[in-house]
Amino acid sequence: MTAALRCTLALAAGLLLAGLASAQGAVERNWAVKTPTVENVVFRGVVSHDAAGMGTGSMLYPAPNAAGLLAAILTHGLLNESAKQAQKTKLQADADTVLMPFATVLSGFTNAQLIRSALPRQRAAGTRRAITADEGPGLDWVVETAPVFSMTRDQRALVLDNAVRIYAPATADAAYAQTIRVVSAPLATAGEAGDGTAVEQAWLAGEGRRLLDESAALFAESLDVAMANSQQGTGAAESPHRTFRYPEGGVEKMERAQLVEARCGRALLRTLRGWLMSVPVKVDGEAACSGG
Amino acid sequence: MRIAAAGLALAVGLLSGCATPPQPPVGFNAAAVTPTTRVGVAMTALPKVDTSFPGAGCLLCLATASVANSALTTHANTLPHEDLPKLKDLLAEQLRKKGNQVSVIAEPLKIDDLPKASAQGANLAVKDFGSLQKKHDIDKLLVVSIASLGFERTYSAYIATSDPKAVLRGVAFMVDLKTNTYEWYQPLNVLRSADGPWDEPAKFPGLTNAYFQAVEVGKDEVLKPFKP
Repeated sequence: MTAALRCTLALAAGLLLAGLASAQGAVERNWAVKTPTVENVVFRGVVSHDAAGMGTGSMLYPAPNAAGLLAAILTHGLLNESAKQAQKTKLQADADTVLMPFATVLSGFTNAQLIRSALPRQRAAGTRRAITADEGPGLDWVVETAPVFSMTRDQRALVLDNAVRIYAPATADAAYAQTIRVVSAPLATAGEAGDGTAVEQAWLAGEGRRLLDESAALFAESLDVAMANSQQGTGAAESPHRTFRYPEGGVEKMERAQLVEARCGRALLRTLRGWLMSVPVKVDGEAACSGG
Repeated sequence: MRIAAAGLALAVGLLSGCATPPQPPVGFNAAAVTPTTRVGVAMTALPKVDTSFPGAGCLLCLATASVANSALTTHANTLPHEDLPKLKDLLAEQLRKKGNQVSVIAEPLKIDDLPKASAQGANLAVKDFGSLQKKHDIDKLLVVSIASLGFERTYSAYIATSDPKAVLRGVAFMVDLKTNTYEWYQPLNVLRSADGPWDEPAKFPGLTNAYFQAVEVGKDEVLKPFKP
């Protein structure tokens, strides 16, 4: 009887310890996602600088003496730098024209609205709430974000670059800082020929609901990645670098990276810059999706 | 007056006569390779991954450009060829899938060592590849020749006129060894810029990413006509 009682007590103690350990391992943080001070969500067009540059024109410097030659080279350099900058600005302005059909929807799309729509979409455990830029977070972990969305030239996909900083409760220094890029799956509406009008209409249906929803989904994914990564790390240290291919709209893109995680048609990569990148891709050995 | 005109004509003649017109691309004709065709696949030696500064014409300009980009050059020299050396095996694999008789020529092809072709004309190779027919017992030769690999930054004398970009330049072609005619000629001119800032020494992650993109795109361009 005594032996049986001792055995039962030991088992109960074991279970209690295991339970405590388990609870400790799954400590859930309370998150306060701070609304950026910039009111509207930043959108721009995806730009390529592959063809940028001013060519290889020859140059004959007027050089009466060494000082004259130096002055001529410096002037040439300044003019060239100015031309290069103007070209980059023009390339970005041209790329931004892709957003013109969505100007009305985007003009009223605020960061506060983005965060409110994104928080319920997150997979992350723990409570999450949005706070304004000047609101105190209490004892919550504070998440600062700086989202910038880009639309591909064919309008079939969105790319989010989100610079995230996470602060432990009542601390001033960021405990975690990471830039996270999330690429949406290409919009299937357009055929291979790329019916621009159909794509526009798909984004704009229901007063731009799809555009706003997709933006919120990408932002939620970036928060999930940041929150999980800030607690667990990436586990990518041993993963070899290789070139991953993924669709960005109708274009196949490539990224040299380490695979961090593959799930449900998405791969989380760590890029050579150390950024995290969630892309729509099929990875060998990917776990089956339970939904969504 | 007459002497001046004659001099001008001579100068124009010399300048235009010296320039060999570049071979225009020739689309791949799948019908040219039947199951009985014996195809050899070869590559020229891969160049060192390096930097180049077109437009930095004078010696001092080139020296200035080399010094200004020395950190990038040092990094470029550490980058691997990735799986470019396997490109001829990948080509052979695609051809075999189509039922062709393929032999991979192991040693690097030295095109410069081949004799100059006697006949010149449209789509005729400048070099005479005919000697390889007997040597390797093949009817056609598929060649991948990568001339430049790494990073390229254009200059106008002393001044950089572009940010550095990853580059893969070369040519892939198939030549009929009986007629010395190109049956496929694909110039490779891949340029990829860094996504975001490029000047990130010592590892240059943006440009390194662009380099691997250029390698992949170059491989794709070579393999594209042979994929099912």
